[in-house]
Formats: sequence, C-alpha cells, structure tokens
Amino acid sequence: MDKKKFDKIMDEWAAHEMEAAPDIRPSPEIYRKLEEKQKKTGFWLFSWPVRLAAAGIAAALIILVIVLQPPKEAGPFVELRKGKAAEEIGGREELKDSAHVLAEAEEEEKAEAPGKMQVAEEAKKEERMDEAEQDRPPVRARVAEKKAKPKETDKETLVERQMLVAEPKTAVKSSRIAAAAPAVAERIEFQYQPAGTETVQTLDVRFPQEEIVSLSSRDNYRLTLQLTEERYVYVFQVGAAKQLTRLFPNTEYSPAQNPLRAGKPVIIPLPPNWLYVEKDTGEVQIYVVDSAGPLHDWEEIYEGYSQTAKTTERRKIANELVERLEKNRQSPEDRVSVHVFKFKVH
Amino acid sequence: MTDEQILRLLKEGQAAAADELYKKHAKSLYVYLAHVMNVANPEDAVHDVFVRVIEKAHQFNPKKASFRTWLFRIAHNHAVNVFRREKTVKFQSLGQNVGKDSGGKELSLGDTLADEGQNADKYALALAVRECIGKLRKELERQAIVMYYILGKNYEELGDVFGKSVSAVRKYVVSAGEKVRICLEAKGIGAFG
Repeated sequence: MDKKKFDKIMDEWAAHEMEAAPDIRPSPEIYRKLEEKQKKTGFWLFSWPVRLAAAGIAAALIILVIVLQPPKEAGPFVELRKGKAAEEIGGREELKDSAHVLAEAEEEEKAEAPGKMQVAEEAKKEERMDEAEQDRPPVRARVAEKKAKPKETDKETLVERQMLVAEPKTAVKSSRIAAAAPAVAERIEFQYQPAGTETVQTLDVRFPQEEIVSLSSRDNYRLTLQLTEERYVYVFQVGAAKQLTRLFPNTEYSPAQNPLRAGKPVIIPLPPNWLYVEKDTGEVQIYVVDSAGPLHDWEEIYEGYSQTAKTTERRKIANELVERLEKNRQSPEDRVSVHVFKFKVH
Repeated sequence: MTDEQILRLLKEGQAAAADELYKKHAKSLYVYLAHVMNVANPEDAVHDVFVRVIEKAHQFNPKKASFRTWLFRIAHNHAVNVFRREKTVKFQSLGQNVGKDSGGKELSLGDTLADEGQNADKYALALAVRECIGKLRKELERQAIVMYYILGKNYEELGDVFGKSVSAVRKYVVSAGEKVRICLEAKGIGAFG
C-alpha cells in the first residue's frame, strides 16, 4: 500500500469516525459551572458600557497617579513586587501573604530609601560584616549566638541554619549568595509546613544540604522558583522506590509553562495547594534543572517512563534519568544547571 | 458563532456558549479521546475537558494559539494526566462496553462506529483502522496519528498541542502511520482504497 492510498484510507476513517460520533449535549455540570462563573464575576460587569466606563476611569486614575507621584517614590517597592507575584499565580492573594516576598520587598525598600536612616543602617551592617569577617564562625555557631536557647533537634537546627542562609537582611549572607549561587537562580526554595501548624519553613535549595529534613506523609511541601533570566525549567521528584514525577512543567500543579520568564516567581503547586508524599517512606530527591533551551531528550526519557507499565522498566528509566541528572550536577553541561534537594519521609 | 465569540460568552458564564462549544468541537474531541483514553465512556471525558475549558477560559491567549489548538492541548493534557494516574497501559478493545442502547442491550465501541444500513466496507475499514490504532504501544504515537487526521493534517497545530517541535510530531505521526499501515495490510485492507 503506498502513502497516497494509506492517506486516503485514513481520511475515510477520520470522516467516518466524525460522522459516527454521537451528538453530545452539555452535561448539567457544564451549565452549573457556567452559572457559578456568572455569579462569581457578576454579569453586569460584562456589559459593554459598564466595561468601557470602568476602563476609562481606571486609565484616568492610573494617569493621575503617575503624573502626581513624585519621581523619587516611583521605584520598585513592595506594591510592584506583590503585583508581579500575584499576576504569576493567576491573581491569587496568597502570595501577598508570603513572608519571604514581603521581607525581600522590605529589604529592597530599605536599600533604596534615601536618607540618614539608611546610611546608619548601612554602617551597622558593615560593622556586623566586619565582626563576622574577623572570626568567621560557622553558620551553626552564629545561629547559636543569635538564638538564646535553640532546640537541639536536627530538623530544627537545619531549618534555622538554612533560613539564616536565606535570610535577606543578613549582610554576611548576601555576600555568600553572590559567591556561591549561580547567577540564573534567584530563588529555589523548598518550603514545608508541619502537619497541624500554620508555620512554613523555608530552605534554600541552591546551597548544598548538610542535613536531610524529615517529613511525614501528613506534612505539606512546595517549591518556589524565580530566575534572573528566561530559562527552561524542569523539576523531577524521585521517590524512594524510584517513582518519577515531573513536578514542572505539569499543568496539574502549575499553569506556568516553559520558558519561565525572568523575575517571575512560580510556586509548585499553585497556592493554596501543597504537595505531600503518600504511603512511601525513604529518601525523596527533587531535582531542579534549568537550561537555556528546551531539553527534548530529557523530556523523551520522562515520556518513556510515563508510557511504560512495567515496574522494572520504569525503574530502569528512572535510574537512567537520575544518572543523567547527577552527572550533570557534578559536571554541568553547557548552559544547563541542576540543583538537588533531598528529604526523608518517615 | 466564531470561537472568539464563544470564548467571550464562556467568560461571561452564558449557557449559550456551552451549546455552541459542544456543537462545534464535541465530535472531534470525542473521537480523539475515545482513541487515546482507556475510559468506559468517552462522553464523560469530553465533559471533563469542557469543564476545564470553562474554568480556564480567562487564561486563553489568542495571540499564542487558536482556540481549537488550546482546546486540544487541554484534552491532550487531560488524557496524559488520566493515563499517568492509572499507571497501566490498557488498550481500548472494540468489545469494550460503552453503555446500553434504548432496548437495554450492551453496546460496544465497535457498535458506535456505524449505524445499521451504513456502507459495510466503510464500517469494516473504520473498524480495522481503529483496531490498528489501538495496537500502537506508544501513547504519543497514538495521540499524534489520531489528532493528525482528525484536525486536518496540520503538523504545526499538532506541535502546538503537544508542546513539541514540528519535526518531533512528524516523527510520531510517520512512525505511527507505518505501524498502522503494516497492521492494515496484514488484515488485507490495502485492497479497499
């Protein structure tokens, strides 16, 4: 059978399938969803005259604000950062509550605000830096100095240490980040929330882990990524039994797609959702890969994994991918960098 | 009504949008999902996809893709997610029950291919093609070949739906086509055309 004949057969088949497909009517759920949408948005808002009037008023207000605002106050302060973050997660308000974003914004605000207060703060910071430079205590010791009586459990010590590393107001930390972190990854954070608490602990994935945090299946976790330039990002989670899950890109967890834009934070999964590990116990690894271009061959390996039913075959493919990730982490390929974060599930 | 008009009504939550949406796209979605998903009733899958379309209507960007491309991308992602959740490859069988007819008799997928009185050759041909596509072991090849012929042989649109390059999707379609061709020949279908 030549290609033309085969094409003809397939065309006939497609036409026949379309003809034979049943006439499907919208289900009651569809109408219910639309009704919900209508209630939520408010139909009156969508009538054209109201829309136009609202757009006109909004434009006039924006122009007024721009014209009336003194130039020195037009810097990228908290509001702008929040706006960016909120846009990235689909306008949700959750990110506004993120202590990290607020802390960063506060720091920036302080850094950019002119006046004596800033000069005084700068001087204090420098003083602290000098002190730190003199005896260079390890991070653990500095934590001990800062905290009166820290609890000695491994988990908490680790959290405190890594949070100190990620603490934006510490001058010593800033220089460490500049020296150690790759320029592209502005933020790669692993956040977790112990079961039954509202507390969120944040660990910086860009730095080598000294200890492994231990979570239970009742604890929540999520990742926050932010890059300084546009990159293709892939996040793989490898379970204790070599189960592979691509956390990003994955529309199940985040609507964001590759390439990720510079400066836009992406939270996986989209708040208020969290991830958790079900049933499985042991060590879980999360690999965060960023690349200048799409990694088609890596994607194909993952597709091969997700299309395979046999456990042994899946494990083999997962091992292959992990080997590549590890190899790349240790001796990075051109313009591809890999970060890994490990935690235990008990 | 154009896709843009449908989308605008969808964003407003108007019921008329659902009727138009189903009228224009439900059949092609049904055929695609019936071939790529291992579900008892592809109609449910079609409803699931449209629910997602309504939920995500505000995210659609006409500058990035056409509405049909976006719709099939949602369908493709839905199929992939369901496939991952099931974690086993189960191939659609023509004997698989899809519901009951008005007399209460169990209907199979094969029964849905044609009504009584339709051309027997076409029926046999469609049955054979469906069976050969069902035998494709690679999920992406199956999705690619079905979508290629249902959406009118547009590699670029296929690339947008799958989020892959044109050459990559062409590879899937060609490879799947070759396997289906061999399968059809084994069934003696070459004589039909």
